[in-house]
Amino acid sequence: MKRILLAALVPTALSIAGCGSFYAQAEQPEVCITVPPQTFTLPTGGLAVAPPGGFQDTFSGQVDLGISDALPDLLVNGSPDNHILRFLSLEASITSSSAAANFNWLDDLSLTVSNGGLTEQLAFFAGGMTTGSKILRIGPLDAGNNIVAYLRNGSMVLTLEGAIAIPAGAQIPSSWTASVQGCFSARVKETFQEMIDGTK
Amino acid sequence: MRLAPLLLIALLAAPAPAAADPQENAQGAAATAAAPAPVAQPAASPAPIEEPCPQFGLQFAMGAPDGLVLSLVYSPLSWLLLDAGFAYTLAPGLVLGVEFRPIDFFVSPIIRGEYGYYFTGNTAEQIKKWSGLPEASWPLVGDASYNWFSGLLGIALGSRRGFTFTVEGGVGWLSLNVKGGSGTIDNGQITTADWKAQSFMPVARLSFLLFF
Repeated sequence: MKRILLAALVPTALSIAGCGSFYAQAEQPEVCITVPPQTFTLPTGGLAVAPPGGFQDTFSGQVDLGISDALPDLLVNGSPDNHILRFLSLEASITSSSAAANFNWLDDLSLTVSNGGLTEQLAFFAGGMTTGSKILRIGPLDAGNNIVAYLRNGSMVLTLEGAIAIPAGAQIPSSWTASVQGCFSARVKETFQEMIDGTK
Repeated sequence: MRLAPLLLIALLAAPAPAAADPQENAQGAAATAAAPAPVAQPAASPAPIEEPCPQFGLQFAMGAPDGLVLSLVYSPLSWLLLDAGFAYTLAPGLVLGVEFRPIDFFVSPIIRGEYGYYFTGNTAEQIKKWSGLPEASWPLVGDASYNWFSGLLGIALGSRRGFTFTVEGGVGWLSLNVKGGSGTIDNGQITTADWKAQSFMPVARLSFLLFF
């Protein structure tokens, strides 16, 4: 009888003792969030057409992506030690209602995220766009960068900062309107002990 | 009197074991025949033939992550059991197992390996509730199925030729596969790719097996 009880208790005891070894992990390889068309103001210097020598200036804007609508809390809420959120790409598509018909005016663009005093550059585009191009697509500077710490209340606020370069005689747009799509991947791994303790 | 003749006489007088006097033999045989014959002992009973172990059985099991399983068991050797069964937890599935019972006794240790596969069913619905996704995001979770394999140690109580009860525990590897989806949430479009979850976990199992 004692041996029977021992045989039944040993696996149970091992299971309890192994809570630090047992684990669960989940991975979402790609989730893409497309927000409604966003309008970003461009500086014009009071000019409608670029003067001789061209027109150069800078601009900035923000896009709020609701990550929590797309990813469950268990994937994104928790310590960066075992919760990973990675930026995959950003795509902006000029809409028909945009004051700027295309991206001819764009010289370079930087994409950053921030949380409190922390700022991380996710992507950078430079070199101007092909004439008449209406779609801008940029990838990450560091594909392995974990940005889960930059989530704020389930949202990821992306800051776009760029430079304008318009040749002489060309029209200076006052704004540009585009639908913006951000793509991300997420992964989480927790041991059973962490789940029991409620630590993440 | 000389010794040699005495020795010769003694040798001649001693009964020879091989060539006995026929007359003496006849007398001895008669004496033997006259003595009551020994009682004939009954022939020794043949060693009892051990009843062979049944080759087939029906098994009902419950456990994690098995759920409820009804299996047909085939035993080509007394210490080897193979089973295949229909299972149900959140969805219907099947479970295949191989089991070693090295001892034919009322109490026997067990070593078991098994594989299970569960088709899509209510699994996706449960994931939507457990994941914490807002209800508006539920279209992002498509059909889900899962499979697992495990190794267990346990004890079987009962007769290998009748009914046994087993209790087992061990470790397993489970893989959950979920189809992605798309939906419109807060005027935005969200698209998710197929995603997966995996777990290295403890497993446990109780079963009731009837051999026939």
